[in-house]
Amino acid sequence: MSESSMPQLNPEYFASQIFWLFISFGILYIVMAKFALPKIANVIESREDIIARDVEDAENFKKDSEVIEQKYLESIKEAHEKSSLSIGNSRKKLYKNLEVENDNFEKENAIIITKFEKELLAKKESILADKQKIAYEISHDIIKKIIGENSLIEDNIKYNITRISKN
Amino acid sequence: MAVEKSGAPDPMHQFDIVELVDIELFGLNLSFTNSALFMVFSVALIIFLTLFTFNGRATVPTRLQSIAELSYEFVAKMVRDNIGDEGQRYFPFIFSLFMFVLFCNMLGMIPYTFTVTSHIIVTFALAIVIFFGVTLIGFIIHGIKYFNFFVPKGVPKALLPLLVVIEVISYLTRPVSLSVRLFANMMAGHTMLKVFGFFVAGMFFSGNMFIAPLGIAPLAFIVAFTGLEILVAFLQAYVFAILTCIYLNDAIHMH
Repeated sequence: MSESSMPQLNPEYFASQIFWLFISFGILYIVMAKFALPKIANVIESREDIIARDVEDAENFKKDSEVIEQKYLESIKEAHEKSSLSIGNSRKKLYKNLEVENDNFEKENAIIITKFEKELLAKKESILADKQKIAYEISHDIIKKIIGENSLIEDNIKYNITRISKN
Repeated sequence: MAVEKSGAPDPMHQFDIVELVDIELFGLNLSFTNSALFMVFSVALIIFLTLFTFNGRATVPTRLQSIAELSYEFVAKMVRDNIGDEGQRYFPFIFSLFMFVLFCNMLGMIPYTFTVTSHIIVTFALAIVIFFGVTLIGFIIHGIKYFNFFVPKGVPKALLPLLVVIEVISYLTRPVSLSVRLFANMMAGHTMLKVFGFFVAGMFFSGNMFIAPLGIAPLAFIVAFTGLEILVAFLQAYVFAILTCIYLNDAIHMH
């Protein structure tokens, strides 16, 4: 135990403390300067290199991907144009075919219609003829029964029937 | 908790030097003491941290490796900012100094340990070596012109003799201020912790049911003060290292 209340002021161990301070600090300095610090510097530097390289790689990949995206967009655009072109073409073709078919249909239709009209007309005429014939026979019989056969004026009857049936 | 024969606890007991191995060389007592033990222990820890935590060259460092790298970059930045490129030669010394003081301070924060830096002879030995080293570097770089360091520029000639004296005194007191700052901070903090520790023990075991619960107050103070002391332990190591940088910068670049 020191005489002083502060052990720090007791010179008994000054030499010992200085001695061990220089030994331990000397060893620390040598190890730091020769081994530890170059090693840490090396590790930090190599890590920075790795990071720089990785960042560079990432940037290259980004550029590549941008090029690929550009290409992709271009090919999409191209495909779009192609498809719209082919859609237009096929639409035109379709319309042309449709027109041709329409024309054909109308021509055939016209033929069929004229044919039917002719038939209709013929039928009408034959019906009219029958009607006139029947009317003549009926009126002929009526006149024969009422007046007698001799007084029959053929031409007068025919004329009248024709006149009536036309009305 | 040491109790003197008088009965009163002595807060300075924690600073006692204890001989562990008797060594006598050249008529000097160079015994391996508890102080030496903690110096060696600090150095061993620093060497372990900086040399044996490195697991290859992984891109992602381990935790201990991160501590070593952070310390490295912290001190490297300090040297670069305060001295510049010429300071790179002294980087290993500043790094060793910072780490040594930091570890001695921090180890001292663990209960029942010895705080190497709480002894003026240790801090003064470091400071005087720095002082002579810096002065030597100044004379090697600037030769006799280094004395211009004591002559401030742009000052009336009449005032010069006085100012030169002041400059010389301030230069010569550098090792004193450097060493006393560290020593006093560490000693004061540890003494304070010890004194309040006695309060806590004294109050809790007073046997008085009214006083005993009040012991919680100094206990709370100790907890808060321990946090502050850890900060001081770091700060004083930082101040010690940065002042060394500033002295080196003065010697290299003058002003």
